[in-house]
Amino acid sequence: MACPEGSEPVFMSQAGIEAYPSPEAIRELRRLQFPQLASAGWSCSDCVTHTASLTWVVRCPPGETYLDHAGATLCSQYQVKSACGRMLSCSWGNPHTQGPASKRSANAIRRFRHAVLTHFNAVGKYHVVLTGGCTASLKLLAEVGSETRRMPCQPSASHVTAWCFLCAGVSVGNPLTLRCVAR
Amino acid sequence: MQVFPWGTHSRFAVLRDNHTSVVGMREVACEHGATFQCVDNEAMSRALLSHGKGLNAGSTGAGSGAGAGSGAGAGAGAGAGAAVGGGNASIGSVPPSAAALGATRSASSGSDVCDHLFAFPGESNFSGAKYNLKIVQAVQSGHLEPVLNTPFPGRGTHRWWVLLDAAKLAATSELDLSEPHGPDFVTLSFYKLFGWPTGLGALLVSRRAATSLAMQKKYFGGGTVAVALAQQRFVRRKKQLEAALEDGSLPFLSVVEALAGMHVLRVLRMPRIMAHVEQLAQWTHSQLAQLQHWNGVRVCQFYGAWNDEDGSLRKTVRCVSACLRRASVCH
Repeated sequence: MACPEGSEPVFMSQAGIEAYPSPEAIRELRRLQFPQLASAGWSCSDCVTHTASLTWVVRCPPGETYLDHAGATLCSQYQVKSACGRMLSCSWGNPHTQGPASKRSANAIRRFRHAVLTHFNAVGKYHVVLTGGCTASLKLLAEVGSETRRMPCQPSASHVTAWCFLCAGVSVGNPLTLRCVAR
Repeated sequence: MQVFPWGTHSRFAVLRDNHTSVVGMREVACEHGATFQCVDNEAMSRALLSHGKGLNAGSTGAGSGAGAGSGAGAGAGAGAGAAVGGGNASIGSVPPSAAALGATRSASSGSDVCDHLFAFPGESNFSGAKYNLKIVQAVQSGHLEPVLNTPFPGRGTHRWWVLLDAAKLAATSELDLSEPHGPDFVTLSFYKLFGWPTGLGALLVSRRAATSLAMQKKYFGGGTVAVALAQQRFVRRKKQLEAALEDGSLPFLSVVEALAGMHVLRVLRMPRIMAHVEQLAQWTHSQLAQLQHWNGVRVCQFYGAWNDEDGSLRKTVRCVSACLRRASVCH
């Protein structure tokens, strides 16, 4: 996934050189931190003695370009190596149990929550509820048991005499597609 | 789970530009009697103009709200700014003042309280348009009510809560949640921010929402309860919001991995990430724009607000979205 010949200087000049520490910065960043971008990939031989024992070796074919940053960004070599180092430097226990390994994990979770709040300049203003992802967060917020609402809306005298059915399609120019149909 | 207290008079309103996962919340909301409404950019602009704000990030007010999601055809249709002018005067007089609503809101500890939720994306997944976060305060102050198409019940106290889907926005932009009128809920996926690990996200809950809403679930898993008896129906849940909502053991090894990711963001800094992504998007756009068929028909038809009013290329779009055309397409 090398850049097309001669494209880097154009890219840099368009960005304005002040946007990057040095003209070689992007190339260096790609080479050092994102070896997955190179068609040769990253060799596992550094950490696995018998590379042949790896049953599934995946390489990007030459010419492949990753254009899905909106879908997911790429992780850096620093991240993977430092996280792996941390993983192997000591034991990490289930934070719900007691003991030094568990306390270490609980401490990591506490530090992570604080790092998230610091990142968004929200220390002391928000709670960080960890979930499986954005969609899981939305689902957690949405799902309710109506009978246990603490602050219910008082239903009108007619109570629920009509059910709201949602029209499935949302047509361009007329997004208000809610239709109330008498039962 | 009962986190948001939907009621039979509740409204669940979403901006049309929302991600499918947000729209999916309506199935739950409607099942519990809430009324769903999709608000288009034009209506949202009207609501914001009555609050003196523009729809897009960086826009200052009247007329400058065009652009977001109004990307050629498949976006939200007509540019908001142009359509707003006519209805401004009448709409502007309808909503109660923010101060008045603030007063009722502060006295809303009684039982006759109706909670509504409005959800919007910080940045459009489709067009890359960024929304003005002033939307939050406008909606919290009740300025959305006049543009909802079903009559709004006058009784009781109405509280609007705002959900910001920041999955896309937070990936490439700085998001400052220190403002006093911040969103009540913010949702995130961490792999969008730093790639690894996947399967870890967050629901940020403002202290205001945490203290005012009974955010409690029915189901309880390991770690969420102080005491739970198996022989009889007795359970005492943990008081801390995080502990009460996170069932089972957290993916603690993923959290250890994610700590390295947060460190990367601290070192690289979001403004630099944003500038680089904008530059990449510009580059990709310019490369794709050059593609032509043999007969001169341009291959890509771009969506999103790529051009400013003067025709110059806008430099703040971080998402390239295009339709690929056949050579036989009409000009």
